[in-house]
Amino acid sequence: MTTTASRDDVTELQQEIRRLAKDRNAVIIAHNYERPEVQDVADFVGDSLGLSREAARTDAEVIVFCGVHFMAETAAVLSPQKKVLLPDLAAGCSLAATIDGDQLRAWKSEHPGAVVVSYVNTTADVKAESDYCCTSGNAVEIVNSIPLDTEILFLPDMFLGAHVRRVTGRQNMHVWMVSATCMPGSIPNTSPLSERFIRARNF
Amino acid sequence: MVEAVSAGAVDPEGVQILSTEGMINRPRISAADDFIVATEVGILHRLRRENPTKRFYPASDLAVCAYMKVTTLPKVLRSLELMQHQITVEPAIAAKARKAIERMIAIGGQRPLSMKPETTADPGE
Repeated sequence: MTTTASRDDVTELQQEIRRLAKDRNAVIIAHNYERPEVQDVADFVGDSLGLSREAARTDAEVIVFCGVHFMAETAAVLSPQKKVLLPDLAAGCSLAATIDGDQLRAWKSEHPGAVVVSYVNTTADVKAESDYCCTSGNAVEIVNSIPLDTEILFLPDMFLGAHVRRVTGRQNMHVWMVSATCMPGSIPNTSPLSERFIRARNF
Repeated sequence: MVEAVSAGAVDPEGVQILSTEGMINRPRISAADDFIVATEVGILHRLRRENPTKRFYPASDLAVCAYMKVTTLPKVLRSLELMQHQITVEPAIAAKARKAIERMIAIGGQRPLSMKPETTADPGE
């Protein structure tokens, strides 16, 4: 879809998508950050975890996930019997890409006994190596639920991690420090945000 | 933004640090009519649709996740036509990942997180 597409074209496409979704017994879900016309064609709009849970609840056999790759993976994790489709495989996430399963395993080996808390913006492989998932809304609560004398590894968002550490006053919480964040400026096929950018933003 | 407020660079008066679903719900229960929204600009569409009498301003027009914009209507249609691209997770990995998610949900901080868009019945709107 280009910005020059007419309103009629959009309406026609949306009607065709709805018709086919019905034929395929598919549910279409879209993240809050998707294009307006994609949000408007969806059965549900929400955040990544909410959508995955919605996908798990539906009776549909097929889930078309209009979001990014790690979200579709999370939907597949919560709905192993359903077919999860991602319309474009190029939909990645620069934040999720800052740590993979091998890197997390290596980090864990440096901190034996530590509890791993991962933000939802991670691959399934990283979630599998984690003790807890968290969202921005419950990260503080999750961290506070972990005994004070237990070391914590928090990843992959260093800004959320720094905030949680400040709010909880937790001294034994290590935060994955890679200079990528999801916004602003995540552009496919380029490197994550540069350190220069982050310094310029005075974080 | 969270960092800026947390570090004291922004006056916390009037600032709510919320998850994206928290941002969706806040205008409905707030007495304010004008909101500065400091997250990805795509959320403005839903905020305006669900709160037609209130006004929303992006904290930055540059807060655009390009990955979220690669999905277009023709690609959604093609996805349904060809049943592509299926995303699968190896069962052993999925079982372990599920455990991390379930442990989070057991602690709480969760509530029903999504809504059916009002325009679905009439997608031309």
